[in-house]
Amino acid sequence: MIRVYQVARREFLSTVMTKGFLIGVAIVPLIMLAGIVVAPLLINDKPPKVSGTVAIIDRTGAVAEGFAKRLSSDTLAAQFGEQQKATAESVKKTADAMGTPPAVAAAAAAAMSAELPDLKVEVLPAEADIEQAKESLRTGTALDGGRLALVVTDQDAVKGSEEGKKFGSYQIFVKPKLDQRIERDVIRSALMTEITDQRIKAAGEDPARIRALLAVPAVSSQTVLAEGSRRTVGGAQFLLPFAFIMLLWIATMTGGQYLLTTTIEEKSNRIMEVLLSAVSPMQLMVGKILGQMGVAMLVLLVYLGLGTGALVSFKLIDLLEWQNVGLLVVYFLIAFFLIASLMAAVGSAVSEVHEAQSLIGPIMMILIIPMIFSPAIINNPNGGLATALSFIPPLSPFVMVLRIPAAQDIPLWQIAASIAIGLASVVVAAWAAAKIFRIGVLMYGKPPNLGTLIKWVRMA
Amino acid sequence: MSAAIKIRGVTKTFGEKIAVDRLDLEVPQGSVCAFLGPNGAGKTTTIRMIMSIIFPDRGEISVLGKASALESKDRIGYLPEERGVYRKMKVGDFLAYMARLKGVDGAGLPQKVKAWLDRVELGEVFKKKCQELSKGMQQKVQFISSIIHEPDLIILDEPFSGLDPVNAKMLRELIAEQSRQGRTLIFSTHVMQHAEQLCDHVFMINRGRKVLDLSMSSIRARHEPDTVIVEPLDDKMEAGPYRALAGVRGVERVGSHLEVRFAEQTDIHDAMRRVFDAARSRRVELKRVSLEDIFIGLVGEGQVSRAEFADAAMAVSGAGGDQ
Repeated sequence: MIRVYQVARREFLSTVMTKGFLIGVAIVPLIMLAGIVVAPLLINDKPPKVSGTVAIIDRTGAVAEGFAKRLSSDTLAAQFGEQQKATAESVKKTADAMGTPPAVAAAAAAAMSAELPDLKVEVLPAEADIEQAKESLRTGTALDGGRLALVVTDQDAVKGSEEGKKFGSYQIFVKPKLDQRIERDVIRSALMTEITDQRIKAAGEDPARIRALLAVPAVSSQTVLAEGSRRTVGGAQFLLPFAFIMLLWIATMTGGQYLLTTTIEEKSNRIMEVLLSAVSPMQLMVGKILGQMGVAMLVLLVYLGLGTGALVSFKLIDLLEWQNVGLLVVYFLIAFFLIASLMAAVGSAVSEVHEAQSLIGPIMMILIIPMIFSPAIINNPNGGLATALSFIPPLSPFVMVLRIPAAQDIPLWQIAASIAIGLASVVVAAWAAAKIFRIGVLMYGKPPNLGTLIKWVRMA
Repeated sequence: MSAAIKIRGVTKTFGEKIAVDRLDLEVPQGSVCAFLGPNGAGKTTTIRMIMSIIFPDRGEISVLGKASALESKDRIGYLPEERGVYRKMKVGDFLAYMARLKGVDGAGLPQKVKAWLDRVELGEVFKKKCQELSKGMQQKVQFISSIIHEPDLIILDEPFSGLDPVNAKMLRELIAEQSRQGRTLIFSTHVMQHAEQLCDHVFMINRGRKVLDLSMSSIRARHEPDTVIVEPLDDKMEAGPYRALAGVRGVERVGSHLEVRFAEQTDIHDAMRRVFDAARSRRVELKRVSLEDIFIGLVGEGQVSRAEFADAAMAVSGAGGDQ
């Protein structure tokens, strides 16, 4: 046992006490932190200022005037002023929640707002030929100015036909490269609003009053907690399961990867035989796996700590239930020993890192499949797919780790069963790995394929 | 005197190839043994079986009185033929780790490591990474790792390979020193002089079978020399005067001296006097048959059949083994 400890200790220290590891473990979280703080600044959405003419062929005869007014610079200025305020408000709210400094928030808000477009409306005669009017749109792009768009209203768009039951519509023709938002938020919205207003007027009502009647704000809900309550954060139910599986993924892959490379190094540096004169292959394999488990644990704890810190600062700490973290650790151990055994076996069978590539494939599948299904599992944690996947041995810890924070009420027997299945799969994997390791460590030459490895497992 | 290693009827096959064929071997305790044989003879396979790294298909091996080297790992030092180091580890840390794996107590270990590094004139590499060492320096470090735990049995597979004459001399002295301290040593080599200088016992295997198993003293004794070496004072003197002597089979120039071969029945001391009288000379001596001659004779430079091997082995070793 003491030999196992000595091997584990060396494995752990030689992996952790390197510049590469220490920088990696410190830098990645720093980058993530910086990203969250700085990201708003990087969204520079400002489109170029748009100026030009919008032509309208108003077959209804009632829309052109109002349309022109809506696109006048005064109206637009007022409208944009409103939008600007709303954007600044929401950015400020998010920034407060995230702890971003106010200066950064203001800059972000400024970056997100667009410049006021400069539009003139050209009212064409109602009988004007559409095709002819479209001609001027054919040359150049919206960036060149001139006529940017042509709007045509159907004759019965306002008055309607068949006793006011059926209404006509409109057409919009635009020059290429016209900013989507100008087309949608300025031109289209002005036209639609004006048509609606005219219809209301024609029906004898007051457009302003109708608007007031239709306006029901979207109030954000409050999630009631054990103590107090907080604003419901959309997407939170995705946050934790995703974070959990990412944690599991990163920790397991880190340890597994190192296990692979250090084993191959010991073979290619020919130190394996010297080691085997002092320790048995099993002591070596177990020691290395335990050592790398220490490394993976370290990584897991660092990220877990950071994640908890982030949750606290976003005031979302209630999302984290501590028994779930306990289960996370249990599933981490299962997943780690599973992946580590397989990686140790592969590492022992080859002599160079590139020879391992083809054998790693199936192991990577174990990690990738749950990721692919993660949205489905998170959305429906107790559904058929999620439950079925929970009992497939290599996938089970990853799937359970997605389900547990996503669902409130996973049946206890499922948790117990998945742990049991996980442990059984670890035993099988470790047993097979031991057989391969014993033979592989002193094998050099052509790397074995999967079939050969299976043969080794079946040998006495 | 009990045997440090006992090998009885050991056979090892890899697929079609018989690597070791019914091998019987006994390494006396406290001796220094040379393990000779051409490339591919089965030396490394045999050594690995002694170390219980691989296991025989048939036969038994006992090491230090135990059925398997696994039970006495800490009392055995091993330097394999393909040997490496942990490249990124510091030399001092590497040796300390190797020592700990062999059961050496952690207290006082750094000093021990330092003392050994000083002994092989590598005092300044203690804090250097192993990958910074030259090949020769690495060999010395690896040798230290095989003996730092003061083992009772030391097995060295080609310890001299790649060493320059100065380092080879140092290694010879270290081996001799270990032997003086009562340890059993067995090493394989291609350089016959090393075996002749250091060993009291020689094993030779070829194509998996033992072809020689004798003490050095009996090798020297058995091979009654039939050749007289003479270095005439006159460098330009050729065979002339010597060919005329009674009983001469042939005269050959070998480098700076002549070798005069006499017929088997000749009284060789009488022959020496006749050579001495034949011309003025710097040196007249009996030629000792060297291990190299025996090696080449046994292994041959062409195809030799199994039967011929058996005959040669019998002839050289008498009726198998010696006193």
